Amino acid sequence: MSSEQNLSADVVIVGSGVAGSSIANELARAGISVIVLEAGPRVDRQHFVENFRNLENKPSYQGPFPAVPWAQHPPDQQTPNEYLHTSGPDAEAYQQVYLRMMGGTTWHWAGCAWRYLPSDFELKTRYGQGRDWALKYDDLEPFYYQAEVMMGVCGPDPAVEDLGSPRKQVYPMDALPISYAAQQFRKLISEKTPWRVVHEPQARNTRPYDRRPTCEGHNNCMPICPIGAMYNGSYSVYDAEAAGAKFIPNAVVYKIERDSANKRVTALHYFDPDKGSHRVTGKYFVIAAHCIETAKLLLVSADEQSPEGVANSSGHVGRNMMDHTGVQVTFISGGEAWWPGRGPLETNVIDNFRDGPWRNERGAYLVHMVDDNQVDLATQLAISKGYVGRELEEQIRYLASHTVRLFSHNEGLADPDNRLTLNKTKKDMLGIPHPDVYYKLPEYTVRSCENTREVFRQMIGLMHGTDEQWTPGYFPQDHPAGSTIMGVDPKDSVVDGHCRTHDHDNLFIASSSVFSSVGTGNITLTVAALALRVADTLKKELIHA
Amino acid sequence: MKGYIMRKERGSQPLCLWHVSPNAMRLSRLLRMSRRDTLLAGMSAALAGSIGVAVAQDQQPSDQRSSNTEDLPVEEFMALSRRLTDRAELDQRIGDALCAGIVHGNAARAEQIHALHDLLTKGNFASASEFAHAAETQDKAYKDVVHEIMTGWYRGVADGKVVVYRSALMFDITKDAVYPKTYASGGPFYWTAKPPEVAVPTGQPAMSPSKFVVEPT
Amino acid sequence: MPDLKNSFYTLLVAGTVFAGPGTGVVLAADTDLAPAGRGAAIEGSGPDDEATLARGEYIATAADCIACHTSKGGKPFAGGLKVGTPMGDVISTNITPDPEHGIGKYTEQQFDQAVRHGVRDDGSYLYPVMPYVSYAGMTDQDVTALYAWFRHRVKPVAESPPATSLSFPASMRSSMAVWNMFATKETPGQGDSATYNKLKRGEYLANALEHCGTCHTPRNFMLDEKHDRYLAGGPLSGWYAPNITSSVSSGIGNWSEADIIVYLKTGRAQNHAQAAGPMGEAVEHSTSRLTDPDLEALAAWIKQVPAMDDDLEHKPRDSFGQAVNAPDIRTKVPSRIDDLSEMTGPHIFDANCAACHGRNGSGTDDHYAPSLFANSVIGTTRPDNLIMVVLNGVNRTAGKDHAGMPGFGADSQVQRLSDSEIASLVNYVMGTFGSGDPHVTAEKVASFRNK
Repeated sequence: MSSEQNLSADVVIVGSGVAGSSIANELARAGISVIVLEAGPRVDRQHFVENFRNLENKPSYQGPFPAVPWAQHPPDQQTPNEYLHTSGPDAEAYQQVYLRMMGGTTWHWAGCAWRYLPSDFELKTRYGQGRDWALKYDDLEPFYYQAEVMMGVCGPDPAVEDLGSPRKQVYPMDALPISYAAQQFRKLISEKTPWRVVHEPQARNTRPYDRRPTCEGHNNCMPICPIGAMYNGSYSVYDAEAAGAKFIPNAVVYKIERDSANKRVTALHYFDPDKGSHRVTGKYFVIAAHCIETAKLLLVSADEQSPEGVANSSGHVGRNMMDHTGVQVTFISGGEAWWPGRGPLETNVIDNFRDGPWRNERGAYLVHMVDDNQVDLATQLAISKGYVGRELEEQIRYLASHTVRLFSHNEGLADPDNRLTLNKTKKDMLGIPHPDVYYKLPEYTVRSCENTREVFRQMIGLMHGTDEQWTPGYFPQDHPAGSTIMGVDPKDSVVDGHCRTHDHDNLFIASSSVFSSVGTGNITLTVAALALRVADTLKKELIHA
Repeated sequence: MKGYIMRKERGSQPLCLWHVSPNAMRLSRLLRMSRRDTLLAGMSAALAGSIGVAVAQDQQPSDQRSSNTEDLPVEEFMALSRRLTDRAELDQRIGDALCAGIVHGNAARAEQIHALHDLLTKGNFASASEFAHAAETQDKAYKDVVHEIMTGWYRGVADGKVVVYRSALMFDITKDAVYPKTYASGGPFYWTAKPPEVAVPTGQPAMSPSKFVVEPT
Repeated sequence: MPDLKNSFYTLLVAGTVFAGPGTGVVLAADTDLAPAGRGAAIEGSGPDDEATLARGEYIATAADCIACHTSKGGKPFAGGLKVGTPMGDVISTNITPDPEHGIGKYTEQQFDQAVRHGVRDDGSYLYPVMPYVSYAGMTDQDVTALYAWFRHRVKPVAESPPATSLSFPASMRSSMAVWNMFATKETPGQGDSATYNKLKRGEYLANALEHCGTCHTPRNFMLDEKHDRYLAGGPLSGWYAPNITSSVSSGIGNWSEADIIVYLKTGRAQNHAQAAGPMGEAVEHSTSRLTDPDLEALAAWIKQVPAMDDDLEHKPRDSFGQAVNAPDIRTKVPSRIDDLSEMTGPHIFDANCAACHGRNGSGTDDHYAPSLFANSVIGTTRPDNLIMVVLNGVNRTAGKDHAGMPGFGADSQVQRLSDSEIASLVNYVMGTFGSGDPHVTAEKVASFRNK
């Protein structure tokens, strides 16, 4: 079945998350015609808020987002999983979750908007580890700022608190005033350790911004901000649509058509939910479909011209899978009541371990003190301890006010053996194979995690902690990267420094899949900056043409 | 970042409805819903205890619990609940729903509630702790029943489902400091102020401890 | 946030304001000319001394000139704000002292003609988008001060906003001359307004400067204010400017002077009301900046305005409702992401409003999000303002006090609610926390969009 409708645009984008929608917005504002193909449906906030309240397992932040059958996403982080199948020694540590729907996974991010450090782009040169990017920090700096303005990022004054990523402008919004719990954590760390706690830059409103209200501390950034005080991709979708971009929901791209020379992409083919097939032609194409889905699409598009998959002459599509696989501990502090859970979730970070000479042998990391409401956890803990009645209530208050949760983002490393492939037997209802990922945590990251555990033990000691609950093994952070890795050499990389595929002149990739190293900061701001840079390239080429 | 959940016995793997419906966009919602209902009916056995699934029950109660509360040991449940929470007053509406959920999750609970109520009326228990201790001493199986009653009132959960969220007692006893997620207790930056202090508890557990593990979601 | 596009002016026939394109009908200069040559003769002081300039600045604030003559994010007084009218958009003009683009060439007499008499420099009439019928009550001394401040302290801006281009019949313009003759204007105040006693000062502030009646006094069929119904309330293009007379049952007779003062200063009076829409702007730009004695004077004046009863409202608007005492019993599990089915009123409330206003409607502990009961917007029998707030939200800053609520209209980034969803929501909220279900229909909500 083929549609009779002739769909065509200057630029055709796959994926409506922060990357795809922000490119669409930039191009549409410049008068360029754009079609965005989104595999998932249109959605709205109010149903997610109700879904969250109706969800028994509140910490399952995938829980409020049951997928549609034609665009599955992982239902949770359990292994085995019904969609994302992981294997290898650290299979459970790569159980990533993400969302396939209009606006993408930023519907349930926590708004942490870090720039990478200049050193993150030169890991090989500076430390002899991993890979260098095919671009430098300075190349991305203007786009980092553009992304910060687009999202509305608040952060500290660089003159007062330098986060290590040089800035030409101050943050668009003032830093978020931190909670009492965070203030006390900051005080403790500064007085009792050689480390420091910094304000986390966040795409969260500290004043009304972009028709959205100031954060009111509903403490539910993940999985759903009930008032829109935090950026998500849906705002860029709205903006792009207002500027004339056409978004087609429930359009599952399954084939990338090229010309006879296999140098240029000519069209994308997508299935609607009834498996009706549609063809969309264009001058340029951007795959912005999340690290896992992007690699999957390139591999699914294998044909006689490209038996190993599109853009895959290097054989690196699906390889080099990275994350910020980390460590987590929850414990009960013996100090005063901090009452975490007042204000937004993630506001403060120990950033001393983001870079250092030791990076030649072990990965960097950052440490979050999570400021989330612990009442539910405290209640379960107190009940399990055998309390009832007044004594139970006393325990709940005590535990809820004294629980401390720490976790780390530890730097992964590009290893070609950590690889995404297509499942041989399991397919979705459209016949598209599920993704498989083999994952073995690189030794570089293992050593980093060991160092983190030692630091956490010191901190537990400082706070006279009890009831330590360590997350078993390693802790996936849902920051997958590397599956279409960037590099200067077409033989061992998929895209160049402008995120253009080496194999196809008019095919770009806007995703964390292009990252050559994964650093320590949350990936979203870098994804957005790379996407805006792709938009800039496309504008120049289309307007020049 | 990731959250945590308690390891707990779940009746089944989360039910996946992905293969249930192609959800043709041209079909009316009504037609789509009826297809889902039909399919769900055939899978209802697998549904019990599962979470995170799409269920076509939009504006109706999810089951018949509420319609036949007269068959449930509600008054005994309320008396037990008042004793186990050390509270003279509990909301009857919540009690009805919790009792229905607990019995729905495990039919044996009706008889156990009855037996525990017997124990309660025959003894003279001055506190929740005294009673819970006596219950566990009489029959180890009663610990689970007490846990479910506590989980019901304090977490608002029964039978693996949310019975109340905002109205769960755990939020009532912490409302001077924090609000349930998705609700705000103040305007912007209220969180910079110092929350109330909390004294170190002196009470002792009434029953033996159970396994408690934090694991990723 | 609603801007002036959504405000009261649409009920007035609108036209060019100040130095618009010179296409107006030039009327005979003697139709309504003010006495000439006044204002420059304040004893013992030159017109441009610091005290005069300070007075001028304060008068400009109290008269809220900036509200209309500055566009969103634009330079102060450079015009460019779109004001919606039934005939199309009127764009406010540049009133900075720039000689080419602003009013730099206006003599004081010409300035006075415009401000107090609605006649612009080419002699044509301003349409009463410009509230000159109120400003007519200003004293000569205050007009002089205002002129001095505009000339010397407002930064010239050498740009012209897009010209207003309305396509209504030319006859409309000349009809304004007739309207101007019949419209009831304030009588110029005499002497030094700073020396008035409290009540007289309050009256002067209310009528000549703040122009309260422009919105709060209903209008007759000629669109002239009905002076026998002074401040008795009237509809204003979507919003309803409520009865603020001393009637206990229909007005704000149950408010204390202190309540009125705190309302004007901050935009909210706990357990009474809060300002949004055009009143939110008036608070932000004008009343929150008045001196305490002036607020006291204004409140005293408002307190003694004769009670006018309303034909619909017979119990104080802020006397309805209470916190809902019902557990949030839940029977559902999460629905699939493409399930966008319309929810019932209570569910729409829970999903969109309860996060801040509380499931029981009592607002946040610090009243940042106000209680929904004991709240005039909900307790009124007229759902207009609640519909407008749901559509457009609130964004009001008064000094350090900020109030924010996102809108849920067609361009919301937070949640776009349909007409029928808003109808269900408004009916639930007013039924639960207010004076009763107003039975708003989706069609009625639709009529409020883009007002």
